[in-house]
Amino acid sequence: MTEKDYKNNLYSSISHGQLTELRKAITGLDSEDLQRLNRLIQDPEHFSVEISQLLPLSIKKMFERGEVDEEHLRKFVEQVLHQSVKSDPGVMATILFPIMMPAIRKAVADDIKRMVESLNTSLEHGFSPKRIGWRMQALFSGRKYAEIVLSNAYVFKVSQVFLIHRTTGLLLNQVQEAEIKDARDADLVSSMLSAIKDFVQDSFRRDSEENLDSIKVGNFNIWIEQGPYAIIAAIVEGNVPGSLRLILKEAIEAIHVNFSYELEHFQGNTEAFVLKDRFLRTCLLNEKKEAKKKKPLIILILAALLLGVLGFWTYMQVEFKLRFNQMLDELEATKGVAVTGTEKENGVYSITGLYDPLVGNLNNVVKQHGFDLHDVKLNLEPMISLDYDLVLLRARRVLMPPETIDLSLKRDTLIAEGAANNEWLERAASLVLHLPGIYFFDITKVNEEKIPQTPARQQVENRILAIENYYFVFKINEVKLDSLQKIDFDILINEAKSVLNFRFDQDSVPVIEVYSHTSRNGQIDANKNAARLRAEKFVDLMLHEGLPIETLVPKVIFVEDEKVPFPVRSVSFKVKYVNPAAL
Amino acid sequence: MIKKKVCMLGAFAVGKTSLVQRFVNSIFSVKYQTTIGVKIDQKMISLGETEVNLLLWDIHGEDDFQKVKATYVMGASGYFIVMDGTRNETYQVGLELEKLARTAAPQAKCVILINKSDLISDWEITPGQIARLMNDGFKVIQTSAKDNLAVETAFTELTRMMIK
Ligand SMILES: Nc1nc2c(ncn2[C@@H]2O[C@H](COP(=O)(O)OP(=O)(O)OP(=O)(O)O)[C@@H](O)[C@H]2O)c(=O)[nH]1
Ligand SMILES: [Mg+2]
Repeated sequence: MTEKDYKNNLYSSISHGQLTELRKAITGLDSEDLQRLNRLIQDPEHFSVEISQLLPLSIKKMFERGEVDEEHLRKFVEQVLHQSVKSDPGVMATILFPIMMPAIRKAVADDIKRMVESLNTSLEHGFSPKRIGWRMQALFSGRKYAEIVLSNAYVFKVSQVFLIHRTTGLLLNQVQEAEIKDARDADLVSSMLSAIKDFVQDSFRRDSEENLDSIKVGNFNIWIEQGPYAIIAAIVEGNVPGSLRLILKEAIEAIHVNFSYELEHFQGNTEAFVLKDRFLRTCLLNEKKEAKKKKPLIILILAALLLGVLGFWTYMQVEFKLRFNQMLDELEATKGVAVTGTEKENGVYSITGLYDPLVGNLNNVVKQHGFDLHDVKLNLEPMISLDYDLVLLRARRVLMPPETIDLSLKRDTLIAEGAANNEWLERAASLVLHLPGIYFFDITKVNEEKIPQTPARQQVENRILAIENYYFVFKINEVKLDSLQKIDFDILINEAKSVLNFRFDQDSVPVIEVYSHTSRNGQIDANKNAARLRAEKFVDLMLHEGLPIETLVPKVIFVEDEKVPFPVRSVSFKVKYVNPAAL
Repeated sequence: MIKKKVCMLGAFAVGKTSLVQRFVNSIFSVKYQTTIGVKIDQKMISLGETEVNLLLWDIHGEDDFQKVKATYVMGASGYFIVMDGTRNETYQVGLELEKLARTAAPQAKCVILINKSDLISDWEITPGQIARLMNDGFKVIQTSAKDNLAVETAFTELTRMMIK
């Protein structure tokens, strides 16, 4: 009997029901359970569904127990991503594209917008009352500024023209309509235009033959015409006729012909273009709107007449008042006069107050201001003024000092200096204390022995020292004295005059060397040139004050070469004695 | 008056914009706003008797996605190569940009700036690397836009070289 036969025998000897009982007793599973397990193992699809319900839970448990952490996972994910990008970056790019593109677009758009805005404000910078008016109009009417400009004034206009060096983007020259006063930002605008041009040409145009010929920025259109070395950019508003293009072309050509050397060798110095170019201005075109309706001539003439009469009357009123006030000011400022009031009666003005007869005839003042004495009357009562000038004047009148006597007043003391005979002294002493405002008479300096003075030579030497200590610092390319420097300058001139008038001996005469200080920093030749000009201009100032030309010697000196350096861009002085033959 | 175009070149976030802002407007911000394209500023500087108007082209930093365009550098009279002392990789990027600039503007003068000298203890660029630059004939200046160290000096120095 084979084993199979044996089993079959055994199965058949046990009934099916008994077998089931037995299975259940051993495994604890009934046939239904078993069938389900069987199905699970046989069908992977089903199996995976079952397990997927468990996995998240078990991963969570693993995290809780610390068997896995983020670090493990991150490394794994990174590795996978890395591998993926390495084998085919396109896949990742496609995945990220929807997120990244909007972000990039936004960033770029914002930036370009900012650039354009800053260009726009720079362009609109120019102010004029008319423009401000239009701007207000735009604000209140809600219309565009550009529209208002055009409807008010122009069919079209070119408001500003830039000449830009092509490779550097630097502004060579610019012209603008008279209304734009403030063109400080022209340098910046020029560079920005050049950068925009670079950007556009690099980004969108492969074909280098094709050039960018206009840009629209806010309210402005910028027309560009390119030459080999320079570009013209014209800011235009309105309906520009196509013929402008030709004018721009001609201008850029003419500039290339006339400035070919300067353009080829451009090193940043724009002087030649600014001073000599006359072509740019030909591009500043505009076409004004015709005035609409013509008003009948007679009405215009009448209106003009009426306006004229009214204007003249107002002018007379205002002018009279101004003149009158000027005269009052002068009266009030006169020492020894006190104005207390003015009145107008029957068309006649009268001025009341007090005056010291010593000041003379005040009616002259009234006449000098162009008033008739019938229209303006002075009602001034006499008084004695204690004003310094008047007290002194009165003393001179009364005491009649000889020419050798000098009178001065110090508070309430009258001081006499010089030489006088006793007769005058006695007379003066007896009179002086009757004079109002004087309480003491100082005659200690009359007829006194001369005090030994500093020897003249010493005085001159002191003056020379003083002169050599002066220096004046100036701005670049400018020799202008400010108010403080003017004071120093006046003293300097005085000192110089007295030094130049004095000779120590017969064989030498004084000269003043005027040193202009510059530095070796930067372009030495240019520095030297500027310094020489400064020295010469300063000498001119001194000549103007009457110093003799042969005594002034302009010189240039580098601050690096001096022991005690004066500041850069300053002028200082040295007094030298030279043989007259050398002059 | 003389005008000169000057470019700021270097890897991203090395401080090109910060240096320009410090020099032109005397301000500094820790906030990082990357430059896109180019931003232009101007500043007048006087050297002895000469006034020079510098037009400063602050160009976006070079990274893998954004290569600097040679057209931006053309016509420059001078350029700064800016490196970030705290990031060694900006050294190499700087040198490559220097080559690009030298081709685009052969006459232009160059000054290398190693920026962020306020963080010198964290520097990754080594004194040896700096010495090598000097050996190769570069003018090298260590700057800090944050603490305003040598910023004015750097611009004055480049201007001096340009107008010689
Ligand atoms: N500590 C320190 N931080 C600085 C200095 N200069 C710049 N930074 C910081 O570095 C970051 C980048 O500065 P940016 O000036 O924007 O750099 P950038 O070179 O213009 O960058 P891109 O325009 O992206 O090329 C900013 O957060 C600045 O605050 C510095 O001297 N010291
Ligand atoms: Mg930047």
